[in-house]
Amino acid sequence: MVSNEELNRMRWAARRGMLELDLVLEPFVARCYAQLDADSRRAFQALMSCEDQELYAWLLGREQPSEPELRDLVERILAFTRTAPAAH
Amino acid sequence: MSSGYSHSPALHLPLTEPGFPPGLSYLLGAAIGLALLALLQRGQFAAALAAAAVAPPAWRALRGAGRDVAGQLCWRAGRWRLRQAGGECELQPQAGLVACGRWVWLCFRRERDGDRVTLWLYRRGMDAQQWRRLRVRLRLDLAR
Repeated sequence: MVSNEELNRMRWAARRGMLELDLVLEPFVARCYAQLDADSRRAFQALMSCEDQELYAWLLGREQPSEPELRDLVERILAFTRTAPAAH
Repeated sequence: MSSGYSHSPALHLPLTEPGFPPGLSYLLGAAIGLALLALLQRGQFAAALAAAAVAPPAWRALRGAGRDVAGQLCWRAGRWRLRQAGGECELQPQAGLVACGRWVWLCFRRERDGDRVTLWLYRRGMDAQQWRRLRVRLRLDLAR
């Protein structure tokens, strides 16, 4: 069970101030974060500690994170954006 | 997701003494130069000569501080190891703190005898990619 505090912290962390990232990350947190397992939530928190430029390259599919934990999560986020475009 | 550990690239992080920040060492060098000039202008040639003899090695020591690698902290397949001249030991992460985006404080427990090991890592001792991967690894490992 995800606490409201954790969810709010991640909502805040997902607001990067970069439109391309905000359009992907904020809906993912709002719709999917609470359903993630503990490992994936930890990976999301690690992902949020990365620089905007890195996130931008990963979420646009130009590069991939070297850590499998982050790579899996980025793929999951990208799959979410592909399958739920109407949500944004 | 933890099964992905075996595919994560290893991390090799240099452990360095904090030393003098480069900006501060240049400032100090300028101050030494000005002090020498002041001594010369006052006609205190003997003092200026003595100071001129001491200044270059002191400057080199300051510039060189922080460059000596005191060891290496390694992460591979979910295991942290400390490599130093005396040998290598396995560590269990206990706590960590990333501050100011410039350094990391890490607390480990040595697996062999349970002793506490505290390490400081400085951003200027590693490249941007290593720094990012360290921060990510800490987030992933320490929250477990």
